[in-house]
Amino acid sequence: MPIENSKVPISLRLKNLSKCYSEAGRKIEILDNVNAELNQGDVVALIGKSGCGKTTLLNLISGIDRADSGEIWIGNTLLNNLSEEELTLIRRNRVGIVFQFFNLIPTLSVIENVSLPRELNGSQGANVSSNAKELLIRVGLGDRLNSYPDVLSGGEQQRVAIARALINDPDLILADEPTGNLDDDTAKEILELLLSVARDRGKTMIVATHSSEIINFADKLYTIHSGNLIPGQSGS
Amino acid sequence: MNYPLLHVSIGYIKKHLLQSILLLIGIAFSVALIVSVDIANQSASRSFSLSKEILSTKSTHHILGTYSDFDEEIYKSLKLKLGLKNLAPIVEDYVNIAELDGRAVKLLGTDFFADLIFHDGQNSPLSNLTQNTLTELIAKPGAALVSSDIAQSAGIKIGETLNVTYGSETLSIEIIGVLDSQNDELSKSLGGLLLTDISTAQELLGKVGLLSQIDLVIDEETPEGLSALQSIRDYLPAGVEVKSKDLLLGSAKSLTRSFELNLTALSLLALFVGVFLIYNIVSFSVIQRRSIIGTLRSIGATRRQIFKMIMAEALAIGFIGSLIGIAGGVLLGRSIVGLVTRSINDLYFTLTVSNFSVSPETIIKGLLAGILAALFAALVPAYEASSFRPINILRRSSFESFFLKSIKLFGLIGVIVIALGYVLIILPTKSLVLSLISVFLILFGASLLVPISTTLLMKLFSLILSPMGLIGRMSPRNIIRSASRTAVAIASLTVAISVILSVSIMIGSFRSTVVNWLDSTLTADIFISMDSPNISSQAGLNPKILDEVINTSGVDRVATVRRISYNSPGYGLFNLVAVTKALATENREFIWKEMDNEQLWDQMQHNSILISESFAYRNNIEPGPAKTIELQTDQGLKEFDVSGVYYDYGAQTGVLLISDDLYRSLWQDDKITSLGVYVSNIDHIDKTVRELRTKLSKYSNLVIRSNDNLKQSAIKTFDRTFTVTSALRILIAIVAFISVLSSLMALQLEREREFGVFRAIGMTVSQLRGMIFLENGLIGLASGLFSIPLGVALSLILIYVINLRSFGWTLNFSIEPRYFIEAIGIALIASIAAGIYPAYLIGKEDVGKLIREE
Ligand SMILES: Nc1ncnc2c1ncn2[C@@H]1O[C@H](COP(=O)(O)OP(=O)(O)O)[C@@H](O)[C@H]1O
Ligand SMILES: [Mg+2]
Repeated sequence: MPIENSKVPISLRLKNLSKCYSEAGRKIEILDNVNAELNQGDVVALIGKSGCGKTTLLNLISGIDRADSGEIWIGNTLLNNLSEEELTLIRRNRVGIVFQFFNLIPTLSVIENVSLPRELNGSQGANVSSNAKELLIRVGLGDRLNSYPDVLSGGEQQRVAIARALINDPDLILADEPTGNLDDDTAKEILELLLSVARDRGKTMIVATHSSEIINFADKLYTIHSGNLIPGQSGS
Repeated sequence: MNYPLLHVSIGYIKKHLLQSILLLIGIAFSVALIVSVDIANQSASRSFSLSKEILSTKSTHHILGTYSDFDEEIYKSLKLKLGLKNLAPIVEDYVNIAELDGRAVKLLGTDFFADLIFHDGQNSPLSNLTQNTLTELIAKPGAALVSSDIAQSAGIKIGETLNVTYGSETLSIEIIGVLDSQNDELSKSLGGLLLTDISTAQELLGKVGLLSQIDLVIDEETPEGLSALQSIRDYLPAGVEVKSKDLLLGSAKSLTRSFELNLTALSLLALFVGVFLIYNIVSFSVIQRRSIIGTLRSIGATRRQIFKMIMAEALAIGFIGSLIGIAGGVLLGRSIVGLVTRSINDLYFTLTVSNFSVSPETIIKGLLAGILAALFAALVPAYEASSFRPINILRRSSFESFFLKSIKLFGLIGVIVIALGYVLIILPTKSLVLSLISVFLILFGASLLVPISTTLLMKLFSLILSPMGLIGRMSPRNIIRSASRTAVAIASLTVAISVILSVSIMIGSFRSTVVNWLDSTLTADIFISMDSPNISSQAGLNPKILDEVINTSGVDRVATVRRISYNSPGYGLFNLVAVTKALATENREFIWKEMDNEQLWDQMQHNSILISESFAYRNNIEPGPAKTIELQTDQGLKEFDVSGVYYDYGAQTGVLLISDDLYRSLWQDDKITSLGVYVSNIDHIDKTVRELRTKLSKYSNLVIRSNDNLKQSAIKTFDRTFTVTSALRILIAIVAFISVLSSLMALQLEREREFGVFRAIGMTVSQLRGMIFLENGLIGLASGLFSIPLGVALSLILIYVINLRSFGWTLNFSIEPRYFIEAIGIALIASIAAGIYPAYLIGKEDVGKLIREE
């Protein structure tokens, strides 16, 4: 039985979103009146040429960057009016981010890296580390808890990053070219892992990617082209 | 260096202007300190030689009494009997100008018709004067010419009267002209001078028929000169000697040498700290450019070219920084010269000329110091840069892990260097230079121990802070991860703070020793002395004062002190102090004495004297029996037994203590330098003081003060002699502060991307700021903690080795907890302040930009 859209809660809504950068005095419109609505549990592939604005869009959604105009809703929260501090808390608690270059903290062990966002909330102790441990087992690194990032392979590092993105049980996962820095086989594994953890937990996930692989698994496909967000189109 | 590489350098410097500015400031500051101290030292000795050149820059020899003035007949005989030419007679002493805060100036009288006077022809300051003035100068009693510096600061005009004090007298001097010379050298030597005719000076100073000095020109290179010198020696009576100007300068220099050497060492310490600073900034510049350098290498730049590029940058910045430093040093030098001159006036001899001259050697020294420091500090980073492999993404971590692997080796070398420093200290020598070298070795060795100590301490902090959560655990690890830079920052802060700490402990110990010594020696209830006494002056109180004091109601007994400055061929410059019983043995602390106090005093009536520790040290007299000293007296050469060696922290020149009776019987001198009054009832002391004041009001320039009051003023003098040391200590702190500021700031600015990640995964700005301050705080705390053992060790060396070798003084080591609190406080403030700018930036930076992946 098909699920009616209106009954699934809206997870992310972008309304007339615009962003431009000025470079050498010239304004470059990166996103021009972009609109989108994602439901809870949607897995979205975001594709487009390098430099088209994928990262820009993800940064707007995570509150790392601010839009010039338009609205971003995460659940019932409108990001536009939030202070820097409030945006940080949204990012910490409701958004999980996976980067292309993993961006693990070199001076923290694997389990500490995963626990960090949780600890930033002030929670500590056995509870946090057992959660972190569970997640690491889930991503297949149960035996590397106390290793430091510099001894891990790229794929392993990205697994840690995925566990880190999940620790605060966010509603939304943003992955910016998570496989861009990995070889093909590893890329495939990581993508599968991302998909399975998101689907298991019913997370909304946006994956910015070149990889054609994900296109087959995504619920929705968006392409950014000349500042427009075009649903359902494949890459150029 | 070839052109494209030059462009890379210039581009980098432009982009990181703040860093380059801090680097320039750091080098400039270190160089400025070296230059200013050098200027001060050279100016002080130049002042001394200028003060000997007043009448002619050509004079080569001086005839002087060992301890007093001599008969003017000697001058006449030299001219008439020996047929000598080119002489000038001088009568002089130091007087004080009340209106100028008691400033000491020289009252000098000479014979204006003597053939040596202002020999330099048309440059003579006298050529500006009219024949009238010259006649007036000779004929009119009390007439004098005043040097233009005095005229200016006292605002005195020709025809006015200037009141100066001498002993307990006030002399009225009529100013009939102002001395000035076109000749630069000559006009410098004319500072702080009142020039009169010889008979005027003799009358004013109570030295009728006497001379203080005869200046002459003798060419020792010629046989005639040598024979003239010999005939003068043969002719001069005992107690009067002819000395070459160079010899006099040499003995003055050797007296102040230790003092100056200590200042130089302090200024070199600033450079030592400066080297850390340069190392840190250059090594940052290398790390920041690793990908550019990698690219350069991949397109064909050789290792040698890269090395040269970094060294050339260091050379350029070292050169510019040194130039700025030299300019700053000349400015700073003016204040330092003042401080050093004052200390010399308090400790050694009276300098009335305050000369300020910058020699080319000083400039060259400053330039070399700055450039060599920059090149030396850049060696390791330049090597690091040249060893980057030509690939695009270069890892800093390989150098860090190499560094971390080497820290044990550094530690080992550090221990060896410290051991070497220790060996130098315990060597049986009196060499001050060796002990200063050992201080530098110990500081260097300790710096090499800093990386391993930092690593261990941070591991400990990580445990201690783990209840704080991940940030608490992470911060110490971050410090270890960047050990090659953090450890250097910590080392520089540690060195600077331990120097500050050790100097504080040394001055504190010195002070408490002096306070104790004053408490035990100054036993009289009331002291009567000349206001603003000059260490080199022979002036004294009118002996009549003694009778008046004894006959004052409430006075129980009176002790007298007579101090004269003595310059003997065998023992150099020292003070001969004659005292009465109460001040002789009773409250003295002896290092060694031959018998008990009563017997000692008995012996002192006959043939015994006591010597101060510094006199013994300077003259290599081991405290113990059967030592004698031979002195020229008015009754001829006499041999005295040394019956005791006592602690004394007064004049640095050393003291020879003699009983008043013995002194008066051997020397024709009835003057008194000061009086100590013991009252019969301490409760009525105020009344007695009042009565003494009324009774003695007819004498000018007298100070009558209570015991407390005198102690306070003695301590004030003590503090004054250390002003320059304290000032240098602060300047070193500034260099260290810039060093820490620049290195910690650069360290954090370099971590922008990491900070961006923290922000992206949900760290708030205030949490991130907390982390920055925590890390900086830990670095400060580590420096503070390390500086405590190092500072205490240095202070022990300062007190027991350097002080002893410099001044011949034994001090009691005393420590106050506040020194440690201060040390840690300064370290924390410096390091936390270094976090302010990065913490501020963090709030402004665009997170998206920070983490944007290239
Ligand atoms: N802070 C910025 N200032 C100026 N231009 C920027 C900035 N950030 C991104 N851009 C530009 O915006 C465009 C989109 O960048 P980005 O979102 O990173 O693209 P993508 O992730 O799709 O490769 C690029 O042309 C980039 O140069
Ligand atoms: Mg991108």
